Amino acid sequence: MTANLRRRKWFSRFFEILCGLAVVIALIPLAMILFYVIKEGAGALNWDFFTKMPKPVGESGGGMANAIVGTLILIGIAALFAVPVGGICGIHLAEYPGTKFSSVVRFAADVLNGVPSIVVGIFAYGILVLPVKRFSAIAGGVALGLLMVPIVVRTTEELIRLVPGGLREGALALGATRSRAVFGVILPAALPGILTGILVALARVAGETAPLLFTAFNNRFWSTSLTQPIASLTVQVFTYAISPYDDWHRQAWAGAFLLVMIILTLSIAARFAVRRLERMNRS
Amino acid sequence: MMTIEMRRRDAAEPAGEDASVPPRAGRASFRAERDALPRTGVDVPFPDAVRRERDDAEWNAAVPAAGPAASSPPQNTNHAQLLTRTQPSAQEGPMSQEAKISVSNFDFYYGTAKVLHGINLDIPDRKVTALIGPSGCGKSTFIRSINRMNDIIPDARASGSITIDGQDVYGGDADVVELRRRVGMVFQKSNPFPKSIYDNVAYGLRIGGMRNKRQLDEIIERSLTRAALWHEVKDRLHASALALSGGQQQRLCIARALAVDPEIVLMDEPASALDPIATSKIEELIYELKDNYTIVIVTHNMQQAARVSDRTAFFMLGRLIEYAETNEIFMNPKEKMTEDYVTGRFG
Repeated sequence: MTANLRRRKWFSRFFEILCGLAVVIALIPLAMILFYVIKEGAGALNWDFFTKMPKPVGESGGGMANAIVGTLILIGIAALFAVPVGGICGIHLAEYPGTKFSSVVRFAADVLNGVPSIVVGIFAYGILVLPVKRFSAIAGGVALGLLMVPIVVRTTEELIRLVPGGLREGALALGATRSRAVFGVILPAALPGILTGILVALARVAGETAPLLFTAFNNRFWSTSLTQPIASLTVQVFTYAISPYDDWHRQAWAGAFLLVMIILTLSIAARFAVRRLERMNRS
Repeated sequence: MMTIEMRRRDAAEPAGEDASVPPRAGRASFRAERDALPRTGVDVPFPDAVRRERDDAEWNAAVPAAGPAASSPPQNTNHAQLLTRTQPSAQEGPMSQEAKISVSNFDFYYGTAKVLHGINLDIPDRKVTALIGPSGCGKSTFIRSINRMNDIIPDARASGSITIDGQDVYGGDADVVELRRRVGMVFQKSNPFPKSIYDNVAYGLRIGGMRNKRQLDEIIERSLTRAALWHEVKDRLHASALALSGGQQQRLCIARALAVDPEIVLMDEPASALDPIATSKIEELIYELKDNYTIVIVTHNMQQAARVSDRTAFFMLGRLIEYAETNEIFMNPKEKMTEDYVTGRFG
């Protein structure tokens, strides 16, 4: 073996080890978070947690039924707002990629993606809470929706671009108008991937706390009204975690565990959808 | 001349009596027709003898003998010199009565690059016209110009005219959606939609506004039958089209194009991605379709052009070099470049 080859082998080995080390360092926090949340949270989780309302301080037991429902309502509003807006923007970007307007929209989406969530919360407060002088589920949902929009825009654009050009040509060659080709053939072909993007975006905003603090606020009582303050898992966890009561701390861990599970489920569902899309495109 | 003779015989082989191809009614019928008629010297797989006799008579009546073509260029002529001619020998006489598609002085540009130079040709009704030529010669661009598929390419520009039944395809009042309904297209790579077989064929009908289930069923069966696919898929019409084999997918795309009852079917190398058996099925299909449709086919496979077409146009470097009866192009080309190409000396 020449000296040169030995040196090259040594280098190769060194960088392999370096890569492995980087992976371990990156995974340690994730593993620790999961371990801690499961250890502390899973024990505190019980049927009451899902079905009961919060109890006053000093009384043990109780649950977060209102916050679980609240979170679902909030991300539902967010999806209703972000999917049409983001989806249509994404279709536009994919269909007219080169225009000046498209580059402005794309840039705006990227900037919005980088705006701190607390700023988005303040914005929603300014336009939806101040005028009516009341915190509301709608304001919280829209704040979360604003955070979702850029993610939906970019995934929709990317996935429509991935659809083979032959499908578009096939539809146009049969006398389809452009919009007919997009909505009848191209969009359905890209749909599984777009749904994945939406699920990932939902998972991202489901864990947001800051934009809800002065939009949806919080609510210790059962409420499904869209114009009233509403509870959410994240804000509830935040409130309980900074409280001085052990009971509430346990509830906060359980809430955190549930949040992690929701996000994990959404991510797994997203991966599943991606695999289906790949299988479809392969054949 | 010897080389050309040999090539013709080669051409006969792939679609000969292939035992692995299951017999079908359509195939049998035209075989019978072929066998019933006396053969000419050259053994060709399709009933060219029949075709040629009939067509020659028709064409001789309709089209006066090719003009300046007879002055065959001297041997060893430089190809670039040939290209500088303004009038290709392919110029036929006055426009034939039968011309379905008539192209005059057609130029095409991608941005500033001129890819088609002054194309002139008349494509006859209910005949198969093959476009041959080396890669990059503009034949695909040309066929895609007929139904304006190039419109979707940014910076593409056309000048000159293409008329179908006398109506200018690029005219101000021409509607591209209506045009594409009249001019179906089959692509090189089969492109079934990720929907069921039924929905694929129904697509063109549904965008045309047809909702009647019985009517849809009827046309879908007829289209699939015409595309020689019905018997293979009739029990699984609602299965995904993507589960079909490559050859079946291509025939599905043909059925899809036929369902909207176009007058013209453009085929851009429809069999180039298929194996010989699937290819021969597509070729038989083309042969049968020409009773009802005007067919224009781009092909890289010269044997295929010889087998399926009535007329052949040879393109090179964006110019139409020669356009004549398929027989003429292959047996007795007027141009040196055509001869070099069809005998395999280049390209």
